[in-house]
Amino acid sequence: MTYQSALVELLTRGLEITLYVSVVAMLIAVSGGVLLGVLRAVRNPLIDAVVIAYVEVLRGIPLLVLMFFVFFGLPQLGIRLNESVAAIVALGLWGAANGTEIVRGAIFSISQGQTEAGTALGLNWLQVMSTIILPQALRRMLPPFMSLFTSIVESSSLAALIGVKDLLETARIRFENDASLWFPLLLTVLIIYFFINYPISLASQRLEKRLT
Amino acid sequence: MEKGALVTFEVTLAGIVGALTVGTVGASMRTSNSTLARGLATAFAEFFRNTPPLVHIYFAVFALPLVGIKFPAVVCATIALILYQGAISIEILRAGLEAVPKGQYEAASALGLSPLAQFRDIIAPQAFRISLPALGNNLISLLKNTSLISAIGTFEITGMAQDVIAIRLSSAELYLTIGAFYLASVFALSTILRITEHRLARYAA
Repeated sequence: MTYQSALVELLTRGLEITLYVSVVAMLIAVSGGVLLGVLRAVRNPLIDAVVIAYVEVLRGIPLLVLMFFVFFGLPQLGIRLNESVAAIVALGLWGAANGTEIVRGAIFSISQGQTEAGTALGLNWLQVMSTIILPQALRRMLPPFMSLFTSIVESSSLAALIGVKDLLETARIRFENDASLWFPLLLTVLIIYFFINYPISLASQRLEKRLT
Repeated sequence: MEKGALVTFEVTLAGIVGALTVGTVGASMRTSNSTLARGLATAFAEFFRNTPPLVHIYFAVFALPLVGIKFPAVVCATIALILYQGAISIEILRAGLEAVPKGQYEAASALGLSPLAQFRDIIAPQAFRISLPALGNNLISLLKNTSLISAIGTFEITGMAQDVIAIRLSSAELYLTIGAFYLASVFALSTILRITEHRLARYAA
């Protein structure tokens, strides 16, 4: 009875918040990654230095520390975000840093001859990038972006630690009140995450095999 | 703070040893001829790497004591991290094993080596060299994931910061300090990994 009502809450409120946080963070990761990855292709030393610093710092610190900094640290500097916005900001910034490396890697993997051919046709840099390089790079970006998406879904569970009522936090609050529920609820949470991530990860593996 | 840093290093070290062990055993099962071993290793790897490590940690901290394993919470959490990072290592090492050219397997068995010697002396070293870049990233991710252990309130460095914040409320500086600590550790670990990669590259055909 109590498990059933908890299950309903997990599948409605909890799942909804986990998906909301994850999907918004994915959108930030893709758009930020494309923007910064393309900027790296400009090959301007100053831009390169700034983007490399951003990527290295965000990939060098644990996401949890970043999330705590955004939620607990920023208010001290006058920036106060509510729990779910703080979680999205931290996940999005972290995802964008990983996305930048994916986009940069894909762009640089397209042969130099393509750029030369485009320039020879009289296209400018932006036209070469948007009509020749990016469409080809896109295919190579897909599998790693999908695997980044599974990481984002997994990492969205960290939001529970700053009080966002996602799948994990909803379950934790429930079994805090009724200790006998911890096993079925945590198992349910694991299974829900698995059913979100496994199809994405399978599709990513299939796609990768087809591309090589 | 120093105490927290020490726990972070201890957990990372135990985690590296554990994850590599799980990875090696799992990858050998994944590529073995036994359907049962293959199925078990595949199910283990797919389940653990597609579910959040934080949930594994919650699980371990609650579940292990109930089945009579009374370890401190930090040990339970380390075991959980080993399973997650180990599951990822299985996939990485499997890809490495499959990337060793077929001729190497044939040559090893033509030399009349025992199956164990074939694996240990011929196949595994090459697979390890091929897997090292991806394996290195996984170990760096392990180092960063030790921060999750603070979720269960231990003396790991992020957890120490939370305790200190409760007293002093100077959190922005503290998280910057913790961030710098991890950044330096990640840099040190990736430097070690890069040097190892260069050393091993000399043996590449």
